[in-house]
Amino acid sequence: MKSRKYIVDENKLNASETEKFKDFDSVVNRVNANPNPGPENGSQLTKAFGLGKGFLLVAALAVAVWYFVFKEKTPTNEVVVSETADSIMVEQEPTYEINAPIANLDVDYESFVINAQEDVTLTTARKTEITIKKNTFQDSSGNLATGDLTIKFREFHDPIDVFRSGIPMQYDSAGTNYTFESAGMFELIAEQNGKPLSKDFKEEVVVDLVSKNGDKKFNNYYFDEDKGEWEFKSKSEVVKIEEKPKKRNDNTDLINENLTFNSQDLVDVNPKDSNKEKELRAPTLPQFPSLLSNKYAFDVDFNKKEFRELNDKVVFQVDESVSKFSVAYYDVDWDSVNLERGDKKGKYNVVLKKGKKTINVVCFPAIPKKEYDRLMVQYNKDLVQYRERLKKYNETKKPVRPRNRRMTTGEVKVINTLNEFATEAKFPYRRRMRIRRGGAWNTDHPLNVRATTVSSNIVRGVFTLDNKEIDIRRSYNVVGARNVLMSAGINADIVYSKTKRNLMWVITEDDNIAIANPGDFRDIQGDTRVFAMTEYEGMDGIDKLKSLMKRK
Amino acid sequence: MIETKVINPEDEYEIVKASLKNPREFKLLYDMHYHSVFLFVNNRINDVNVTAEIVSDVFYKAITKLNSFVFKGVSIKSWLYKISYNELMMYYRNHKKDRTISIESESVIVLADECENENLRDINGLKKALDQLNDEELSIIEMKFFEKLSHREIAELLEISESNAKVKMHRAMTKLRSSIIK
Repeated sequence: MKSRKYIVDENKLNASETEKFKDFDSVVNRVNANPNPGPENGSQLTKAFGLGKGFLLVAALAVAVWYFVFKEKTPTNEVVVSETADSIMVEQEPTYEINAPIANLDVDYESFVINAQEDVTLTTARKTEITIKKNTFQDSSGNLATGDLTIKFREFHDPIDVFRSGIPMQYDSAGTNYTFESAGMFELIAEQNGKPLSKDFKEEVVVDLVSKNGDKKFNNYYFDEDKGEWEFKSKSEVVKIEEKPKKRNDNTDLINENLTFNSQDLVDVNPKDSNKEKELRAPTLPQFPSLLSNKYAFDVDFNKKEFRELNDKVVFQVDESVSKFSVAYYDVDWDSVNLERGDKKGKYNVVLKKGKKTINVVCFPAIPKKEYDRLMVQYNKDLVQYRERLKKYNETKKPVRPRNRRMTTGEVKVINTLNEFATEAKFPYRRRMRIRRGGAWNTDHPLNVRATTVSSNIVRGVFTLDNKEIDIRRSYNVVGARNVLMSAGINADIVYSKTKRNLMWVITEDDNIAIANPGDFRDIQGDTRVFAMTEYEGMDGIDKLKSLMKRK
Repeated sequence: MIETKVINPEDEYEIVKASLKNPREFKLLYDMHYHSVFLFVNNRINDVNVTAEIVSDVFYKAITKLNSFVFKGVSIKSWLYKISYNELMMYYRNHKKDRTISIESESVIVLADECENENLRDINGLKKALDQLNDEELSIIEMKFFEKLSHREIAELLEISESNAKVKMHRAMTKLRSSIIK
């Protein structure tokens, strides 16, 4: 929030006082001299501030004119208006960026650090396998990438995942517009030192994408971001899932290790043996904070020496299950804000004091999304080191039967984040895709939704919250159990089914998710329907949609 | 005394159409709305000289962009306020100045009564409560209570629907209603 200055009862100017500033002739002369506002004849304000004719706030003026002329941002064409004194040039940059409709609800990537000169097979949390040969990746100049690099991968298996990602699901073929029915989709990116490597691969990468659908009608498509459209590549190849021995870089192993092992049980140096050669200390299991959800959190300065277990990028998310919290706390000018360890491991107290009043807010460490991927890479490295140190330590110790310990809330939340995939309905199939280009790929089937049994009805939606009509950014509908996400813009028609369940939601102008009551699709008369929506903020909306999806 | 002829929105629109051919035709609208636009800007800048420059820019842009004006049955004043609002946002960005909020004491009482929060009658309490609002919510409260704009005018200015403006107003007032002042 910008700083604000309040003045009271000061700006009481009457018409006579403002009259003396009027100069219509000056305005008209400017208009006649330059009917198109531009930098050469720029703002009087820039002159007043001594910036001179030569100094042009080009970006600010261009933005202002762009704002007036092109207010709507379109995902397919970004129009840049640049102006000179003589003319207006309009440049079109036909690139398409995949943009999540609600930025903080985008689907996260899993990150793997690999050696570019080694063959490797990666296994994601959902058990998709990615086989990469050595010397596959290159930089933008065509030089082979060497050393460590990062593979970022995310996969989408239901309409909610597709919605979160913003990846378009429309496909044009022979002049007919189709919506994709999906058997699975993924995005694969290779990076080195934080910079993307070339999308073109020197070697084929094989992705065995898990899938719930084994139908042979599906095809493989690649999303060409330059054209903003899907391209057919090949028929989809269904591969039966077989049990394979666990390998390194398997995220599911890391989950299992976290669940079963308790480093606290391993005994430290025995003081009686102090005369002996110094024994190895038990390594400390690295901690991974939760991913910050869209809830209340404090950013507290803490002593890093006192709290060595905490990453310096963490914030402290309020544990609303144990701590009552009022949003008004944010606006109080506290005398002091301190951090203390809580009663339970993984919990901390943010102590707020003002005068004689003290408030303890129970929190847990959480990490903002932009740091999450980076930390995950480091965490994986730390875990590898931890395992090596543990192995050495165990060799010096008699076997100790690990005692089950209660996981910290932070660990539980991380594991739950990954286990949400493991506990989903099983994926009985894998679909093999052989790819030579990074980006988004899907195994889908184009569907003319109006001509199929998905739905053949259309209604114009009017959306309300608390009995007041609202404007929306976009609406979405999923009919029955098919993995098809239909989407419409504002004032557009909603395709729905009279016989199957309709899960319909919208994005409000406040970037919240508002969900319709499925019952509102019954007995629709006419071509317009008022939908009384229920609004959710942030991940609450996603969680609600996922739970409603399961009911289908 | 300065007299300003008051004309209805339809007549204003006829002047707009004439001004497309000859900018000098715009003078009547300039005279009619200059004072309101000046106050709108000065309430947010608190510097009459800077305000005069910005207002000159507002009318310059209004005349040069008349072909983008869409008549919606209301006075062109709302459109001029919209241009002013955008000029102000650009000014804040470019000059990194504090946002000024001009408050009239008599409006404070009305606001406190509407929000049913006695804390708001105290200016310090009001300031702290207003600081809880985001920029858009603050603008809505400011326009509604301190400048007496209608929901429709506010909606025009912020380019949202009237019902959305009411929803946002409702939310802002809920925040003010429940503000805790220590």
